[in-house]
Amino acid sequence: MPGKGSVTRSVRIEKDADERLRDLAGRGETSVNTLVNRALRKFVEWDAYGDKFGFITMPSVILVRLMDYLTPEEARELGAWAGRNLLREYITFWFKEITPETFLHAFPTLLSKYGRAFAVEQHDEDHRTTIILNHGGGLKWSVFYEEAIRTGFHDLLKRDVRVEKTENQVVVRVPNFPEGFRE
Amino acid sequence: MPASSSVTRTIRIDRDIDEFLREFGEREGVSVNLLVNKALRRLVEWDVYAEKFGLVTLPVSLVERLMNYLTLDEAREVGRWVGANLLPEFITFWFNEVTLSSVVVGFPRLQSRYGRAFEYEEHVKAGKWTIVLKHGSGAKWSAYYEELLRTAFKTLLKTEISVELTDDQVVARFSIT
Repeated sequence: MPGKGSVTRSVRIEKDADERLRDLAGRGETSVNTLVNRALRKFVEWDAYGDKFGFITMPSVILVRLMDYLTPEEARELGAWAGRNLLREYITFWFKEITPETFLHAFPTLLSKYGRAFAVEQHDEDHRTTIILNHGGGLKWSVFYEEAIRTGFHDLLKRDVRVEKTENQVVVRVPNFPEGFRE
Repeated sequence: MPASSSVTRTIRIDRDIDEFLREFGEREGVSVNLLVNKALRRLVEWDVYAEKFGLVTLPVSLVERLMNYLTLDEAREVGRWVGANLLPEFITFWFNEVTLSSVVVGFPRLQSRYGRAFEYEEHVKAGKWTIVLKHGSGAKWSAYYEELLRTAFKTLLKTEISVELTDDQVVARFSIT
C-alpha cells in the first residue's frame, strides 16, 4: 500500500543500472522516479520476504505442463495441502498473524501482483465479497485453486465459501465478509 | 554485472518505503544504498523481462510437491521439452542471440540470481567446462535438469555433455572452444 507523503534522498546508483533505468523510462514514457519507487515497493512488499521464504520463478508454461501430468484428484489433493499448510506459512511469514485482512492481502492480492500466477478482481458490495482469479492454466489449475481457497478459508478463517470454476478462472463468493469475523 | 562506477541521484521515495528500508537495512546490517541498488538491478535485469515473458513466482515447496506426482520418465520428458523449446526462446528473449556465453553463463546466472531455481557454479580450463546446478529439490528435479541440459546443449550448441546426478545437484562436463 502506498504510504502518505514522500521524502527526498540522495543515493549512489551503479552507472550501468542508472543508464538502463533512464532508457526504460524513456521507452515507457514514465519518469525514472516512478520506476525507482516501483522497484523499491516491490522489494519492500515482496522480495525482502520472498528471498527468505523460498520462492522460485519460472515460465508459467512449465507449471501448466507439470500440472497436466496430475489427475484431477491429485490436483485437488495438492490444492488442499496448499490451502492447509502453504497459505498458513506464507501469511504468517509475511504478516505474523492470520486475519481476514492479511489473508486477502497476501492471497490473492500480493501473489497476483508480484507472483503473476493469476490476475485478480475483487468486488465488495452489501457485505458480500466476490473474488475472481483468472489464471489461464487450464482446468486442473482451476481444481487446484478451488481446493486451496476452499481449504484456506475453512481452516484458517473458519469460513465456508462458494467457489465456481471454469477452465481458466475461479470465482469465490464470501458472504458477510469481513464483518462476520469481528462479531 | 555491476559497473565499476556510480552516479549520485536525488530521488523522491514514498515515506513508508523509506522507513522500511532504514529498518530493514539496520536489522540486516546493510546500507540503504545497497538495498536501493539491489532493487533497481533486479528491475532492469529481470522484472521488466519477466513480466513480458510470462514468468510466475510460486513457493518452492509447492513446485517440489507438484513434481513429486510425476514419474522419473515424465520429469525427463518435461526437461527435454523445456530444453528443446522453451530455453531457446528464453535465451533469445533475454540476450537476443544464442551463444556459448548466453547458454553457459548468462542464462544460468540470471536464473540462479533472480529465478532462485538453483545455485550455479561454472569452471573452465583449456576448453573443458564444468557447470554445477545445486537445486536441492530431489531426484526428479535432477532428472529434469539432466535432460534439459542434454537437449539444450545438443540442440543449441551441437555439443554432447556428460552428466553426473545426485538427488539435489547436477554436474555437466563438456569440451567446447
